[in-house]
Amino acid sequence: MIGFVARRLLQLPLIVGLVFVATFALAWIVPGNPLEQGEGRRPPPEIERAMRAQYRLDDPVAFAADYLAGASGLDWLRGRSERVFDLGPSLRQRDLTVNEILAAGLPVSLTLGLAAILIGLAIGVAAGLVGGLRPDSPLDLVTQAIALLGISVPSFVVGAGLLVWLAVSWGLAPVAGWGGLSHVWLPALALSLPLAAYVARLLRFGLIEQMTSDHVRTARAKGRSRAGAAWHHALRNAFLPVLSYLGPASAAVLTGSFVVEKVFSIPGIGRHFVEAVLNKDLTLIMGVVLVYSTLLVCMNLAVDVLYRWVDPRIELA
Amino acid sequence: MRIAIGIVAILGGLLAVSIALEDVRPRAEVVFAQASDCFTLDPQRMTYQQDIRLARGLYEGLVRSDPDTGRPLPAVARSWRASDDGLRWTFEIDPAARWSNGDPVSSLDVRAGLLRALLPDTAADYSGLLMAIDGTPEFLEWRMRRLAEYADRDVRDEDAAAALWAETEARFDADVGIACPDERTFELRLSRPVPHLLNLMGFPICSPVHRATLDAHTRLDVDTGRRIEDPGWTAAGTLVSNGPYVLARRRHKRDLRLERNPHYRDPDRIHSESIEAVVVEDPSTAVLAYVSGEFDWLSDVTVGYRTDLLEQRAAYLENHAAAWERGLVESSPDEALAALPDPAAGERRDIHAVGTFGTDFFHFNCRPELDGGRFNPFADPAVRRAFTLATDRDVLVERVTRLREPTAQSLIPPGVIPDYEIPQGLGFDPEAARRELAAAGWVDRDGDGLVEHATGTRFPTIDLLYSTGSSRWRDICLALESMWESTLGVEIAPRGQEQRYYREDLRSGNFMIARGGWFGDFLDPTTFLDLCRTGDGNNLRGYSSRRVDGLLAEADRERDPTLRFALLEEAERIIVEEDCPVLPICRFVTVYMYEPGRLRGLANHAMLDHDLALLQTSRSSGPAVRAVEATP
Repeated sequence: MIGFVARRLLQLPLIVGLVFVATFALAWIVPGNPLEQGEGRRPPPEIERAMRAQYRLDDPVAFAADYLAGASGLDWLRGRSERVFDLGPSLRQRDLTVNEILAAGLPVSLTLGLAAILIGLAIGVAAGLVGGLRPDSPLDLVTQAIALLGISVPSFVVGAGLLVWLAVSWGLAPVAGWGGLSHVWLPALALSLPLAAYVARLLRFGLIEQMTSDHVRTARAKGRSRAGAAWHHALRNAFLPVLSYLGPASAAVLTGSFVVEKVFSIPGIGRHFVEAVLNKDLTLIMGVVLVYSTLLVCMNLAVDVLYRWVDPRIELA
Repeated sequence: MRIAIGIVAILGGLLAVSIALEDVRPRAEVVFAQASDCFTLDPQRMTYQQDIRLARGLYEGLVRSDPDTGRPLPAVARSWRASDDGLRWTFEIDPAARWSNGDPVSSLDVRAGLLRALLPDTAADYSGLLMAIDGTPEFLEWRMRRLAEYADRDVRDEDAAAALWAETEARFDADVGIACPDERTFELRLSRPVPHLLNLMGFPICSPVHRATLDAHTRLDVDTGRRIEDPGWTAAGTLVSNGPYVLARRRHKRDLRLERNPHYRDPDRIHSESIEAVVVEDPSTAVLAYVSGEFDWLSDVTVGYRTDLLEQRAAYLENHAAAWERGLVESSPDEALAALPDPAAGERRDIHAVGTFGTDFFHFNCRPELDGGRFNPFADPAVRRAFTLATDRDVLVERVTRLREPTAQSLIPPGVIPDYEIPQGLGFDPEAARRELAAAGWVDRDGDGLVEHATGTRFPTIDLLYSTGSSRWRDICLALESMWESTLGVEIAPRGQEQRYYREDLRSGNFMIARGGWFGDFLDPTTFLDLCRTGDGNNLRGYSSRRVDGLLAEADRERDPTLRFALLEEAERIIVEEDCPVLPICRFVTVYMYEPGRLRGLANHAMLDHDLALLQTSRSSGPAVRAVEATP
C-alpha cells in the first residue's frame, strides 16, 4: 500500500510536467499580446521592448525553463527565490504574483467546492437510494427525471434561475459576492446539481444490480428486510462506481467553475482558467494548470486508496 | 460506514472553519460595483479607467481637475506659474499636503514619481504623455542603451549595478527638465509648449510617490542592471498614499475598500468615511444585485436588456414631462429627477446613459495596397467619402444599438473641449455618395446593380472586420452591410473575429473597413488628432497626409491658443470632410444605475473623472469636520 502511494507520487512530477509542456506550447502559439491594454492601446515601442525583455517574452524556451525552475522549487533550493513554489508575476494583473492570485482564489473555490460536494452527495445519495430500492416506482421516475434535467441543463441556466428565483424574488440569499454562509449555499447548490444527478444515477444503477445479486438474495431469503439488505450487503458495492466518478469530479468542483463563479460573482480560481487564456497571461495560465493537474492526480490517487478500503478484494499494484 | 460518516463530518468541519475565517466588515458608506477588478494601484503604471478612478481616491497630483468642468484646481501644489513662453513651470507645494503616515509631501516625491514614469524599467504605458518635458526622449533612449550595454558586460555585480543607477540619477538631474530647488518648489522645463500641461499633471502617472516605502521594495538586478520593484508596495497595509483615502483592504477579483486618510490636507472635502468598490463581472448579475440593493452605484451597465430599462426611464420622463423640464431649469438633472414623484410600475429613474469623451468609429484602411499586394479601393479618399456619405447614423443609434447615442460626424466629441469648434463633417446623403463613387470611377456599367471600373473590374468584396464578444458591433456591421449594398452597389462581407484575432488583424492592416473607437485622455484636441499623424503608434489605418501632419506640427509650435485651435480645427476638418480615414458613428455612451437623490457627487463632465471624495449616500456621515491629529 505504502509502496503503491509512493510510486504514484513519484509519477506525479512526470505527469504534471507533460501537462505543463503541452499547455505551454498551446498557450504560446495562440495570438495576442499580454502587454496590450484596453481597446488595444499599446505602450511606446521602447517601453514594450523593455517589458518583453523583462518578462522574457521573446524566447519561449527561456521563458518555460525560467518558469519551471521557479514553479518546481528549484529556484528556492538554489536560494534564488523566497517562495518554495514561485509561479512568477502575473503578466496582466501587475500588482500581483500568480501565487497571490491563487492564494486569494483557491480557498474560496475549495470552500465552495466542498459545500457543493456535500450538498451533491446528500441529494444524490438520497435520490439514488430512493430509485435503487424501488425501481420504476413513481418516486423513482420523478427523481430520474430531475436527475436527467440536472445533467442536461447547463449551469448558467440553473445558476441564473436560482439567482432570480431564490435570491431576488424570495430574498433567501444575497445576489452576488462572497462572505458568510448566506453567500455560500446558493452557488454551492447550483454547482452541486450536476454532481448530485450523476451520483443519483450511478448509485441507482449500482443498487439495482446489487439488489438482484446472489448474496443479497440470500440475505433476503434469510429474513433481512429490503432496507437492511441494502444497507449491510448492497450499498458498499453499489457505491464503487460513484467513488470512481467522485475523484475527477471533486478535482473539477474544488478548482471552481467558470460559469457558477461568474453568475454568482464569486472570487474563486475557476474563472482564471478562461480569462487567463483570453488575456494570454502565460504565467497565470501555467499556474492554474499546474494546480489543477496536481489536484487531479492527487484526487485520483485518493480514490484508488478508498477503493481498496471499500472493496478489500481490489489489489493495488 | 462509520468511517464514511467521519469523513463527511471532517469535510463539514473544514467548511465551517473556512466560512468562519472570512473577514466581514460593516457596509461601507458608499458601495459601487465595477465590471472588472483594477489591474494595478501603481499610479505610474495604470491605464484602465477603473484603476484611474480609484487613483482619484488614493493619490493626488500637483493639480486635480474639477469633476464638473475638467478645469485644473490646486491639489498638492497650492499655486503655480508659467513663464511667458509657456516652457517653464513652477509649482509651490502646499505645506498641508501629507502622506497617510503623516510625512509631508515634498517636491522630491513628485520628482521620484516622474523619474519612475520615465524609466524603461517601470514600463509605464502612458510615459508617452511626458515626452514634452525637456530631455525625456533622450533620457529614455540613453537608459535603454546603457541597460543593453550592461547586459553585454562580462563583469556584472552589485557594485556595477549600483554605479549604473548612480549614473542614471545624475543623468536625469542634469538633462531632464525636472528640478527641485527646495522641498516646497517643483520646476518643469518643456521642449515645446503644452497647453494641457496642468491637465496632465493631474493624471495618475504624475502622482508623487512615497519614497521610503518604494525604496524598501526596490532592488537592483545584478543580471540586467534594472531597477526591480516588488509590486507588494501597493498592498493594503503597506501602501502610503496622499489622497483623501487610504487602502484598507484589497481582495483580488472581489472588492477593494478605501477609508478616510486621517492626514489628508483638506479633510472637509471628504464626504464619506469609507468607500467600497465591488467587482461583479457578469452584467446580468450586476443588475440583479443592484436591484436587490447591494450597491449604491453600478458603474457600467452592459446587459443586453439595458435598452429596455432605458425605455422605462423615457416613459417615466414622458409621464412627468412638465415637472421634469421645470426642474431642469432650476437644478441639476439628478436633483430634478429626485424631486419627481416615485416611478410607477414599468417606469424607472435609476438608469442613466452618460455621454463620454469617446467616439465610436470605423477605420478605413488607407494603405496603397492590402496584404499581399491586393488592390485596395479605400486608398482613394473619394471612395472613403462615398462610404461615409452613405451611412445613415440615425438608423444605427435608433434601431440597431437602440441606445440613442448622439450621432457623430467628427472625431472629437462636441462641447467637451472649451473654445474648440468641431467641424461639420459629412452627413447622410445617398445622392452625393453615389456621385463620389462615380467620380472615383466606380459606376454600374452592366446594369447588374453592382459597380465596376472602366476596365471592367468589379468593386472587390469588402472585408468588414469587427470584434465578437458583444452583439453591438455585429449588429452595426449587418446594418451597414445592407445600407452600403443598397446605396452604393457594392458587396460586403462582415467578418467577426474574437478580440485577440481582431486586434492582430487591425495591427497588421488585414482589413478594408474595421470597427474602432477612441477615448480622449486629456482635454486637448491632440488626444484624438494624434491618431491621424503619420507613423503614430495608434494610427492603425496607415493614413498619411502631409497637410494634416503639417498643421499638427504647426499647432505644436503655435503659442497663441486661439490660433492653435484654428490650426487643429482645420486638421480635423480635413480628416472628417476630405480624407475620411475614419468614419465616425456616434459618441460613446456609458450606462450607470443609481437612484438620484440617494447617491450624490458623481461628476457631470464627459471625462467622467469622478472625485471619490465627493461621493455621498444616505449612510454617509456628511462632509465631516473631524479633528486631525497634529503631526510633528
